[in-house]
Amino acid sequence: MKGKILACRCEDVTLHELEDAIARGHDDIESLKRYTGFGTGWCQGKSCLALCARVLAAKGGDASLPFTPRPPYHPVSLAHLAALVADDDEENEDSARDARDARDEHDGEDAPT
Amino acid sequence: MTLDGASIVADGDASLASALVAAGQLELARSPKFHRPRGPSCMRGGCDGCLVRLDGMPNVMSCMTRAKPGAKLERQNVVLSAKLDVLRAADWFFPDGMNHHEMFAGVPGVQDIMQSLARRVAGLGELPEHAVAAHTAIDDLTADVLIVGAGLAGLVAACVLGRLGLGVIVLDEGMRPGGSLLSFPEHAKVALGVDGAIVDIDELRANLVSEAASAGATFVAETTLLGVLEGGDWLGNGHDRGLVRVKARARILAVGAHDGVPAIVANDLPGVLSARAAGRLLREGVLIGDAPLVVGDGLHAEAFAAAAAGHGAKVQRASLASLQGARGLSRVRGAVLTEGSGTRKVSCDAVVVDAPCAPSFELAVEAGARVTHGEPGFSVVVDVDGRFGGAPSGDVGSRNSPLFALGEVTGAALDHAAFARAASRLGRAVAALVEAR
Repeated sequence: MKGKILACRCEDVTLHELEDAIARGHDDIESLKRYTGFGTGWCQGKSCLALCARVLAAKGGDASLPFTPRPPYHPVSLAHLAALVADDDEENEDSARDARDARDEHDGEDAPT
Repeated sequence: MTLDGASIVADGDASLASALVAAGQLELARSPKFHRPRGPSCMRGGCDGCLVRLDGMPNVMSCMTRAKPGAKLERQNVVLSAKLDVLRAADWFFPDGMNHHEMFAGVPGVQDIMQSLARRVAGLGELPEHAVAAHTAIDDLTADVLIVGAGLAGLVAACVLGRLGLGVIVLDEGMRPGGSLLSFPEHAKVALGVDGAIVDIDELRANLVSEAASAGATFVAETTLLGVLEGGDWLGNGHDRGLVRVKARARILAVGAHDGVPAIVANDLPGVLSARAAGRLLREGVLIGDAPLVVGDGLHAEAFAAAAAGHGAKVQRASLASLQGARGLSRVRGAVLTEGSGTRKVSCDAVVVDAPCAPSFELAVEAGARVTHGEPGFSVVVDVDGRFGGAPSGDVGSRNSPLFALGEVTGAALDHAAFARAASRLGRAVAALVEAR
């Protein structure tokens, strides 16, 4: 049957492209990913990685390790992540205040009575 | 609601995606390079199929978003019209695919023109209409034990750990607890495991949920784990509510598995979807086709085929090995099967595939787990207690590691009795860890 077999649907990488890349020597998951771009789209490999690893192993490549998964696991908006920054600032202020307090206390102890 | 201005009627607490499919709207977006049509394929937040623009906001996963009155939905990435996307021509010009390392590269002038064109047409949707206010607060949760995933494994673990007197929080990205149990049609009769009796999926789910609740477990819905923070806290996205940060002595990943994807022609065609997705849609009241071809003989395929036939669908069956591909220009109109030394065309309006699921190993590896590669995918390696080593050492079964994995994420099949046995060993290890604090 003719037609495209999609190895990675988010980035439109075909099985043919994948096999071509393996034939060119990209025969481990990481270099195969870097060359074809599979697994770099919206789903970050959730739907394509297993299929690509299976194809690679069948072609005699090294599929022992996946590419490195990195956060966020699931798409998240910058508006959501902004809360982490606000929280960090607060923590920094807290620790700066703690440091100030500690210093004041220390100064107090050293001060001649 | 409206889709590109046309009225869509939804009822109950359906997801946007199921409301769209119910209204016959299967083709929702276009793929980035070839502008091939896209439609829902997993119904569990693991693919690009159901992305829509919602109220001026691009890239909303419609399978994970509740339908709401007055919602204004628009298709994304469509050039000209949904039915006739002019950039689909790229799909036909390049029957094998494109090698972007070589095509138009290094040709002065042409390269610049192609880059500027690619910048314009590639990508996902357009920027939001309005600026979005930043969230400023994080919901901080503390528990003895955090369980990620409220599917069969997560619920079984919550019951065991709750009964041991531990404070348990269960995070799940779904609207209701159940995970893949909710990917079976309602009241499906299934044998979950080799020695498992046939159970009613919804009775089992209801029993586990109420048992976990009476054991004191707290369920946090619509919260997707994003990753591990410095210091070991885990960060989740509580969807509309903002971020959730969980501090827990022990962390258990019961995140299940991704759909198996078959390497068949037009595996991305709208109407080709996993048996779990078809089951979930049916549970939400939507039959994906009047004449679906159900491929494979796994639990989900069997349950969906039986339920669809019960709803009056003309169900055809085929083996996974015999499926060569799907046919249709913008949605499934048929399939091609191997028969003897030749092929056979069948007419169908959906191809429902049950291929072996691939463990969702990603979060565990981020936390320091090792994986092994097998036919269905990468499985998290755990010791006899279900423990995996924490970063940075990566030692499997390090006695001090507070990290555990249970269920399909470890490569196990959906098996109630086996999960219960594993959960009871895991429970003893977790209890010892929390007491030793």
